[in-house]
Amino acid sequence: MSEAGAAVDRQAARVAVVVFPGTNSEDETIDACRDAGMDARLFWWSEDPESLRAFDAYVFSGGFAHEDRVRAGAIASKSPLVTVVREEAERGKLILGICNGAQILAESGMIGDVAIGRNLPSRHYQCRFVDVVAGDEPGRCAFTRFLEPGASLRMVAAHAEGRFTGDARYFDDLEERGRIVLRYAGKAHNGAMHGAAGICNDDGNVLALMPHPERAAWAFNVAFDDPSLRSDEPNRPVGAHAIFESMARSLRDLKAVR
Amino acid sequence: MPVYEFGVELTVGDNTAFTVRGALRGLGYVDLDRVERSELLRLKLPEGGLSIDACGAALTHAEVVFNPNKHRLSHSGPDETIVYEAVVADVDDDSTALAEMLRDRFGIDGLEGVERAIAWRLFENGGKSAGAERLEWACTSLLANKFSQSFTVRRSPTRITGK
Repeated sequence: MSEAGAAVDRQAARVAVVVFPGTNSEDETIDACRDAGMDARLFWWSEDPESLRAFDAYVFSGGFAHEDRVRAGAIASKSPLVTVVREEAERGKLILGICNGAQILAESGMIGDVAIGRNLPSRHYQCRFVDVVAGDEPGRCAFTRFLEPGASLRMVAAHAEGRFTGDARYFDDLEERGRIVLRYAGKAHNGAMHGAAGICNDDGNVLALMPHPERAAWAFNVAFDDPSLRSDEPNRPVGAHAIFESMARSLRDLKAVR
Repeated sequence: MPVYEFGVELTVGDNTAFTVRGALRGLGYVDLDRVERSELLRLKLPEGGLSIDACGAALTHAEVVFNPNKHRLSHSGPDETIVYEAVVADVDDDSTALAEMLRDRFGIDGLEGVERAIAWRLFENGGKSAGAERLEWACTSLLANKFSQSFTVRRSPTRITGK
C-alpha cells in the first residue's frame, strides 16, 4: 500500500505467498508483507515445490483453496507444496496461515491435534470486524512476539468454518503451553474452543490465524469504523499490521542469528 | 422410533468427487478410477408418523437439501449390496435448525431429529468396488478429520429412487 512497500530491500527476508486454485487475499497479503519490509512474492501451485526452499518464510493466505472440497483446506494440505513447507517449518522457518491458510495448516497437522470446524451455532458464513487479544505470552510466537500481553487488534473474520476444535484436554494443554496466542475479545462468534483466534505450534514458528489481519492493516480499512484513524494518510499501516511487523522483525532476528 | 435414511446425489458431474479422485490417486491409490458421493439425511420420526414415501415427497420440495434440477433423491432399502461405502459425519453437527425447518415449513410432521453425513464409494479400474480396508485408509488419509469427524465403513444399502 505505501510507496515504500514497492521498493524492497534486496537483503530483506524472502516470503512466498502461496496461491492455490481458489485462494484470494493474496495481493493484500503481499502488500502487508512488503509494507513491513519483507520481499514477498506470489508462489503458484503449479510451480516446482522444491523452489519453495529458497524462501525464508511462507504465508498461506485466505480464500477457498480447491473450492473447500471435502473440508476447508483438506485438499490443499495434501499438496506437495505443503509437504515442502512442513519440512521447512521443522527447520525453523516461519509459516503464517490466514483463514483458509489456517485451515490448511490445521489439516496438515502443523499445529498439532487441532481441527477447524463449521461455525457454531450459526453454521453459516460470517463476515465482521472482530477484536483479537494477545495472550499472556505473545513472546512465544514469532508473529506476536512484539505485542504487549493483552494488546487488542482489530481484524476481519470472514469464514463459515473457523471454529478451532478438538479434544478438551488437548486444548487445556494448549492453554497451559501458551499456544493460544490470540483469542477473540468476548464470546467467539464462531464457537471456537477457548475463544481461540490464533494457535501456534510448540516452537512458535507456525501460526494458524482465522481472522484476517491484512484486511484491517491500513487506516483506510478501518477508518470508517474508527473515526480516530481518519487522517491524510489512509495508506498508513495500523493495528493488525503489527502481525506482519512482528513477522518481519522475527525474520531479521533469525537472519542475524544465522 | 423409525429412522429413514435418504441419499441425495448429483445428477450432473460431481466436481468434489472428481477432486477426491485426484487427491487419493496423488496419495498413492493409483488404481482408483471413480468416486461416488451421497449426502445422507437420517430422519427420526415418531411411531405412527409419516411414511418414508411421504417424507421423501416433502424433501423434494425443500430446496435447501434437494434441487430437482441437479439432484436425485433415494432412500435406503433393507438389503445390502456388495459395494462398500464410508460414512463420514461431523461429531458436533447441530442440525436443530434443519429439523425445525423440515418439520415446520415442509410438512414432515413430528420430525424429531435429523442426522447428516456423507457416504463415499470408491471404484477401481474395471469397476471393482474398493474394499473396507481401502475405504478406512481413504478416510484416515483425507475423507475424515479425526479431530472433528467420525466415520464408519459399511456395505452400501440398496438405494430406492422415488416415483
